[in-house]
Amino acid sequence: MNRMSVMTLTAALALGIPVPAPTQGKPNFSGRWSYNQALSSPGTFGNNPLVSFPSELLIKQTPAELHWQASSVRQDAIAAIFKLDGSEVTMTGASEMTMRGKAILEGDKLVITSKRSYSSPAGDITTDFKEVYGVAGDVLTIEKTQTTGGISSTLKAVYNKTTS
Amino acid sequence: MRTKLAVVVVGIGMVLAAVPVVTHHSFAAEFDGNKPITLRGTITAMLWSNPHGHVYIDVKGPDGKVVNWEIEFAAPSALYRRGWRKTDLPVGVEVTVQGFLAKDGTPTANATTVKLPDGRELFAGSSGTGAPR
Repeated sequence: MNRMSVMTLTAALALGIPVPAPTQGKPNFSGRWSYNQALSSPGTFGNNPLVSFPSELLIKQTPAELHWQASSVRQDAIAAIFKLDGSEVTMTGASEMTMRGKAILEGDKLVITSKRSYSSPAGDITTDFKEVYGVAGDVLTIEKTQTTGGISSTLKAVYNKTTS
Repeated sequence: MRTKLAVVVVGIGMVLAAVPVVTHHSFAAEFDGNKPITLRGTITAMLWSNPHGHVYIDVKGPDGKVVNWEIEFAAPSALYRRGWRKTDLPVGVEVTVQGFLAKDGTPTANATTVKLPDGRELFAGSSGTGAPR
């Protein structure tokens, strides 16, 4: 922190002006992330995936929010603006689906949980997802657990940052 | 004579062109990766066919109505490499299928795994599905 910044912060505190909470130390997941098949678990992409992962993630993180979009070729993109206090929000994008989710920072991890429902010829189907994000430089790792019909599957995928 | 021959050749071509062809397609073209599904049902038929194998299962819905689902697999050659044999899925056996729903909303799914009553779990996919290599 340079001298000018210190003086500005001191003045702001003295005058009672609200100062944004420091984000130093918190992980930053912002960026455009591309799926890396070579480093990801088998079954995360391509034909007959066990757990489907997006081919691209677009994330913009602010101290209070996470703008999140997951997209794949020839699939509906899913998007959400999560509040990082863990409150539940509506997710949008996938046709004929009801999706609610929440995101929270837990230490150096970002945890997104969601419940997604749709109607099928076998009745209403609900799937619970838990995604744990970890970031190290330009590498994003996601461990995703998908639970549907009482069966859970967990796989890990790796993404590389293409732009910040 | 030449005209007659040309007419016959064109006619045969038109007949061949009208025959439906089962095409190979990608997962993304036909199935919705946002819609995982688990189905429990009884096998009514198994097609050891190219370019995709198929099994048909009767699934009872929450309203008690039975719907016959078409479950798509990888090609038989890939299934064989995964340890599948034609006799693994006889008619009448109850199975649990994990997969993804078709985009068109019909009772069609792409299968990733099929669990048999004896506890065995068969991987239904081609390469990159988590199946043992």
